[in-house]
Amino acid sequence: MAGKEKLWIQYKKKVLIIEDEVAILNGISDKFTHDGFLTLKATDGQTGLDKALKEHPDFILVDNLMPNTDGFYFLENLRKDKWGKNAKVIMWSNSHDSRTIARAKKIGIQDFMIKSEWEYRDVVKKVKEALGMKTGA
Amino acid sequence: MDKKNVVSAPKETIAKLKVSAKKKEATRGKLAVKAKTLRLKAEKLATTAKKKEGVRGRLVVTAEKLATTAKEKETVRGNLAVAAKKLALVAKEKEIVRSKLAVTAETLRLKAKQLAVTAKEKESIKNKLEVTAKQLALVAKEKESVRSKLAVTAETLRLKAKQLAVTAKEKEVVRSKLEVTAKKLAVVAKEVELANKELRELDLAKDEFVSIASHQLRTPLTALKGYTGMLLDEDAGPINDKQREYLKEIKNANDRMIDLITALLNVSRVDLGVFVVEPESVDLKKVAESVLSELEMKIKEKGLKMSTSFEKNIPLVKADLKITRMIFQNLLTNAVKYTPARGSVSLNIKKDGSAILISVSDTGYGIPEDAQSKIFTKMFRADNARLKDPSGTGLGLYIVKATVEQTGGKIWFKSKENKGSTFYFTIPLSGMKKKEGSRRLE
Repeated sequence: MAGKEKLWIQYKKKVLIIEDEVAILNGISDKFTHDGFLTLKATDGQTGLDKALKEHPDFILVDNLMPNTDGFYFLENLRKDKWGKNAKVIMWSNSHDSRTIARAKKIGIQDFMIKSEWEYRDVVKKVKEALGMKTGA
Repeated sequence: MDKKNVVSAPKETIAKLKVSAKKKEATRGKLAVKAKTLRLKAEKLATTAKKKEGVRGRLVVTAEKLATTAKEKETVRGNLAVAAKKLALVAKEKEIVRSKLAVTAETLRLKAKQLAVTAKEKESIKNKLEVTAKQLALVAKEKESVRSKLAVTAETLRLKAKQLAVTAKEKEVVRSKLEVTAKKLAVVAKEVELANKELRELDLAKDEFVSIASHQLRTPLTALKGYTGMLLDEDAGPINDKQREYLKEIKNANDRMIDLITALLNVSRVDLGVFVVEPESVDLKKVAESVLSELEMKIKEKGLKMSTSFEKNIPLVKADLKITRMIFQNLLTNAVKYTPARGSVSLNIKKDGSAILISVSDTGYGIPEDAQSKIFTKMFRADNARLKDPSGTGLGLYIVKATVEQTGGKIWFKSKENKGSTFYFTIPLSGMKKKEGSRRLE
């Protein structure tokens, strides 16, 4: 039984979520887990970068405003890495600022999402679409 | 004559010869008469000739006389020709004299006319001179008067000059004071400039504060939204109907709070004038269709009849996509929200002069007459709207009006309670005015 579970886990897509607000981090993480993903969690840019470069997740969801090292710190350093320069990333934030969005798009992201405008299930759907998975909707 | 013939001549012939002899005798008689006549004529002619000779002699005399007369006539003719030449010369001289006389007469006539005119002119000049003389008399009087006045003025000026000398000293004092004031004003201007700069910075700081505050406020609401969603999705296990009902209430209240924060943030940016307008080529039909697709579920739920009318050849217009979308979203959402089930909503886009006119009509609750003047006021909601839907913020139309007007458009409406409303707004064909700023509207 344990062997089967391990095998199954190998096929699961891995999502790294970088979010300083623990309630949100746990909530969205639970949603991804519920929908069949393996999740990795980090609460600032540097921790997130370390996990990303070590674990090579299939997808990364990163907040913008975080204490110490923010989303841009993570993104800029990720793109310097050989693997990281092509990693799939969605930046999600409660900031609507056009300059923030433009800056993130210039560095290279799959999408920019306003947190308060999206249900968790729709965030998961968006990630599934970006990974070419069936959305079930 | 032949004897034989004579011998043998018949009697007839003898007769004939007798007749002929008689005729010859008659002729001879006639000829004798004629000879006599001719003799007589000859005599007459001789007489006539003698007479003619006499006449010729007289004629010769006469001819000689005539010749003499002719010579005398020739002499007279010569004398006459000389006289005629003399007369011709005299006639020519007379003609010349006559011409000279005619010229002299014409000259005299002209002179007479000139004299007549000159006489009139003299009369006129005399009159004028009289008038001028009168005027000069008046001028002289006036001069006298002016001279008196000038004397007074000169005195006054002398007095004023004295006063000015005093004033100049005072002015110098005032100038010094003004210089001091100018220096003070320059200091104040700098202070005002600094104050303005500080105010601008303060505005930006306010906006920054509002942005951060709204971000902070939205963060727990986002968590709330996420967890409520998961509970409703039954990620944590099945829920009963009552639990679903309560969770939906929580979700609605939460969404309302998020909307309110977004609206307040936009109001702050509109009021502070810090929002950006970045015009780009926008297809209004596509914007309208995109907003309508978002509202499709609500339109179906209420069984509304939705109709659209897009005039052909509506050009792409330079507009801020986000602002344009927000205006469409606001007006169409209001129309759907405030129209009872099975009512109608229509959207019309057409060219109107130098602008594109967009109108959103509904057969909804309408705006009561006493509320119409306040409908674009911040936080205002008409009583009937508040009753039908308590969730509105009262900020949507305020933001819409401010953004439409600040981007060069116009907005107005017609409404009748319980009949419906039509909201109109325009975007200039020349496009929205570009506006620099620090923030976009959300």
